[in-house]
Amino acid sequence: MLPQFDIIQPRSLDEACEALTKYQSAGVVVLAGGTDLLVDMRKPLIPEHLPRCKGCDPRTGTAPRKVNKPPSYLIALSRIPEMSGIAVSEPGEISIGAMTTITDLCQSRIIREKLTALAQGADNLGSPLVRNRGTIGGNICNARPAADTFIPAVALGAKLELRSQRGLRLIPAQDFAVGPGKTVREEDEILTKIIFPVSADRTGSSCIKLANRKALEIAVVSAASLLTLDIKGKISSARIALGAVAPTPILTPKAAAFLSGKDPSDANFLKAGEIAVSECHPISDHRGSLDYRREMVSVLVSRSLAAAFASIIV
Amino acid sequence: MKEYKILNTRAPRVDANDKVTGKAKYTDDLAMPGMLYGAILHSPQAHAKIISIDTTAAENLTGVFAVITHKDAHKVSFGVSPARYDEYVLAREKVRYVGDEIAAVAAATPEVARQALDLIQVEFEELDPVFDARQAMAEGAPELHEKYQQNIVQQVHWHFGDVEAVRQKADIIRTDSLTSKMQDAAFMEPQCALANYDDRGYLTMYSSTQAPHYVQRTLAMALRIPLHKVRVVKPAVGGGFGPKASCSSMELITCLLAMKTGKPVKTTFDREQVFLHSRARHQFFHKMTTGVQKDGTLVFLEHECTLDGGAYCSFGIATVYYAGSLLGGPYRLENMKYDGYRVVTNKPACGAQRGHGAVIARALFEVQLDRIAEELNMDPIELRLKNVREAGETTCNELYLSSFGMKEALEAVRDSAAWKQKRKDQPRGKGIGAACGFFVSGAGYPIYNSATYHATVITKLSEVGGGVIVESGAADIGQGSDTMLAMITAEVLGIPLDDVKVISGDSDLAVDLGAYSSRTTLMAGAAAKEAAESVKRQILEVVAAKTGAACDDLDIQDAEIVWSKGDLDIDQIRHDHRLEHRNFSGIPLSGRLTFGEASRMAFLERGSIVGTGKYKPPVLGGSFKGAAVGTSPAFGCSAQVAEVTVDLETGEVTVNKITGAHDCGFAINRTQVEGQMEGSIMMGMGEALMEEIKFDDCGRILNANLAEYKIPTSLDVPPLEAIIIESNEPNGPFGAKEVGEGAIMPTIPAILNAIYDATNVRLDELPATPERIRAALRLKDKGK
Ligand SMILES: Cc1cc2nc3c(=O)[nH]c(=O)nc-3n(C[C@H](O)[C@H](O)[C@H](O)COP(=O)(O)OP(=O)(O)OC[C@H]3O[C@@H](n4cnc5c(N)ncnc54)[C@H](O)[C@@H]3O)c2cc1C
Repeated sequence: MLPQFDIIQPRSLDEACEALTKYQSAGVVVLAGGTDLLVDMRKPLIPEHLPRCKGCDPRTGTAPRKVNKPPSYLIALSRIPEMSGIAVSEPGEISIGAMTTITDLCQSRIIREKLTALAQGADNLGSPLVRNRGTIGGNICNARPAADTFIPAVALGAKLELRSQRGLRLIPAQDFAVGPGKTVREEDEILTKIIFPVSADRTGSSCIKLANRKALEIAVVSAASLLTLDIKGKISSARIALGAVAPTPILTPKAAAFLSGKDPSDANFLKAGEIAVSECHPISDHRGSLDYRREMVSVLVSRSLAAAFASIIV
Repeated sequence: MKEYKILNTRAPRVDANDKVTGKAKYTDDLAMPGMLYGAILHSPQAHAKIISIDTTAAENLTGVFAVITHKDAHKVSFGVSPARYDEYVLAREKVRYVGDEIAAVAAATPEVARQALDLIQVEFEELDPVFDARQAMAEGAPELHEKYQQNIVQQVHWHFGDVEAVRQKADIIRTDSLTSKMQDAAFMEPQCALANYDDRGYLTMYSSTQAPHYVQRTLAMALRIPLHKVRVVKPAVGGGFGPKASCSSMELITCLLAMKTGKPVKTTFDREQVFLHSRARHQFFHKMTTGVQKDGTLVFLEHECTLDGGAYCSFGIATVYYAGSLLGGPYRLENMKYDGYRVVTNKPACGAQRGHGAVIARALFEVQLDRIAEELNMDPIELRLKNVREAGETTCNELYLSSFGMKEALEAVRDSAAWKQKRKDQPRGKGIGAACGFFVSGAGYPIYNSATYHATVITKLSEVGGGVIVESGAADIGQGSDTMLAMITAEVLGIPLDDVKVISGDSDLAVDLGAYSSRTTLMAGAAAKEAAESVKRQILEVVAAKTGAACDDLDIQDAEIVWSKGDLDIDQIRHDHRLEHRNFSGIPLSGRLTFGEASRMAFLERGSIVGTGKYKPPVLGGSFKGAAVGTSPAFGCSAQVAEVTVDLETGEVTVNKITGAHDCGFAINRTQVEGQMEGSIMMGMGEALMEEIKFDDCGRILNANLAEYKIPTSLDVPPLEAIIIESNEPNGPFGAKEVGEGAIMPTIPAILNAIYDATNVRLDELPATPERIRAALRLKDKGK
């Protein structure tokens, strides 16, 4: 059952920023598609933690969750036209409004061509119903370590534009999350758009998700890779991002550095996968054990590199 | 086979349009003037003494009409088996699992009811909990119930034939084990009840139940109301699969709140509560030792099983017996030993779920048969064909197989799935596996000791003529029993399906023990057939008397009265009928006497024309202790072939296809039989690959929702081929027997055997998740 709250529906970003500042003290959060927020606001019948409960192991996820006071106001962003849409903002840049739905990402030709990993991440998210409501901004702001569009955004080198009455700032996607559900976003800031550098020629990307069933899943491990070749066909740069193996999405710089200047061969992709294992720090939880996750990092990284390579149109 | 007009077709379900357009009314769609909302306070502790409950603040909240605790209820225990009643409407003295019901509220809105729960103060004294069945049986383990020594609710020690005497005859003896996990039935509609207690002392409860009859009895007993003043009505139900087959605390609480407030009260479970209440599949720990001869002849089976059943007995006695008894078929196995233990732990109570008690036992036995086949260098289907029983045989535990298309089913899936070729030709990573199954077609005895009829049906001609109304207690929970009743009635009476109206699932109408143990088609179907035949005879008697034809020469076909000797003289009848219906449409001018005219005439002659039908199984089974569980008037059997692809690096399994054949005796409705087979296979597939209730260290469920409790999505379910085998069951109406549960039996082992074929690794723990498969593969690689 949902607690009671009021909804505010601003028609412009300015109005939204104003409202977000104004209601801070009363308790306010931003509402995008609501597929995370409204689910999280429901109060479970059995409390997450009992003070006097014996033998509770904080590592297995039974530690108390931070209990937020339910907000008194939700600011719905759905009526702000400038917040959704996919545009080639400048040469070499694609800008995606934070309110763009996951379905829109799946259906966009330019995203599938130029930002393949993001399109694949979007394909992997939830189910058609969830994709129709859920937004890329919500997925990133919610900052789960397995978020399906966040991982490719990190691999693709996206920047996030945050706006408040105090001004504008740009944050690299890999610096945005600081822990599960925690970000550097200040409470009065709104994520307005996600800006992707459009890949150079001879570039390909891919995103792979491993889970226990074929839809409606939180990744056990996910990996997204971006690969650029030089004119001789050697790897000129690589970026690899991983999901669900650390408190936030992470990059694996060592594995990427290893690839630089090398042949895009299966052997090198395998080796990069092995290096990536040393760069992640997964936990065991009810979705997967630490050992399995580590093993899968190696498999998924090498597969996503191979897929990124295969997607390059020379 | 006899030609039928309606039976054996693909007639659309009578409720199809209402269901797909959203017009069908489920319990939560119902409302009454002045209705209040119920809410339940569940224990956050797995095992604790209740020191005090303070409800003052909750009672003082505006909008709250009643707050109840055990003090407001009679001290009457209830449950499923009368010999093991171990539950109270609300917890007395102690709580035994996270979710146990402590108090309840009735309020003007659901929000206020929920708010009031937060105001109830409960003081606990914590007790040590036990969450593992084997630990619960150990010396010094925390005791859940005084009456269960070592936390064992029921032990079974069976020995059929003589295992020791034949042990020497076996050339190969294998021991294997398999552990499963507690499950959720994941039906679409969470439980809901709406109760009203009127000034004359009549209690009416609408409930999302599979068994109005048992619920009626439990309400009357626990609430101390005369049985005849309790009425239980089942509106449309969105699936049950077992957990809705007994009366729940929630139903009792809702009635108690209605009695206390004098107002109608409705309680609807959250999905979280569905998981807390559970009553779904137990956790099983099976160990089996099987001996066979070189030629593949089965010699003996020694079987041990421990069942973790959570905090209460529920169906547990039946479950532990079924886990042993249903290995009696489908193979010739003359020596079988079984030791079963049903144990309580501080987890939600388990009960019956599709394939009651027998699913995991079947999985292990069929996996073991494949291992034996491998050791014998025999084709696994050949090994099975060598041992399958045929109609007319009796199993070692005295189950008589009156019809049995096991061989036909096995051959059908073998041929349809191109078994022989695929078994040979597939690369590593691709696999094909087969398995068989065996299940009752209705439990031979009711849950309480009684000579009751298991099903009665009252069929009435509509007095205005032309229509037929079937009244039954049978519970259509989505499986389509209303359509079955309508089809049987229409067939017997020779009229179109649309002229039959079924009213069912109401304890005031007729008796039916409920939708469980795959009994409804055989039992309620038999009663409906008898009732319709009675009505038909009555009409034809009237026609005979009116026309001078001999009754035996008359029949009803295509809604017309047919006389085998020629044309009846019906001028006068028709004249009178037309006079009575001046200006009506559809009144016949010529041709034969219609069913509409004849049934109207029957009323004019005799008053309301009513036929009744009843069904009760004959005395069944042996005389040994527990012989009743597993008996049935008929047995269904099935075979399946699963084809899978396993990603050897990640352990992910893709099921590519499942081919199933099921002997349902005779398909009353072909589409519905296939639907049950497909639903069974999907459910079995979920259990094989992903379903598992997970607990934290405090006994709380970590995945009490359908996002984290995984069942197959439409992307996971492969093409399913359903082959219907019809063996013409002599004890079933028109030769029909079960399909609802039996069809799940082979799915888990067929998939496990296919995974082995693809990978060469065996798992002894379910579900076969990618991680478990990968771990087994890693172990194997290391071993090399
Ligand atoms: C059944 C189901 C399945 C799911 N499956 C997946 C899955 O497979 N993979 C996956 O990654 N996720 C999954 N999710 C989670 C969720 O759907 C996605 O994270 C989705 O993208 C969230 O977007 P939203 O618009 O609904 O966010 P909301 O729920 O509206 O918001 C989420 C959070 O972000 C904040 N927020 C949203 N937009 C902004 C903004 N512009 N500026 C600042 N803060 C903002 C909100 O305040 C809130 O805290 C699933 C959810 C459900 C219910």
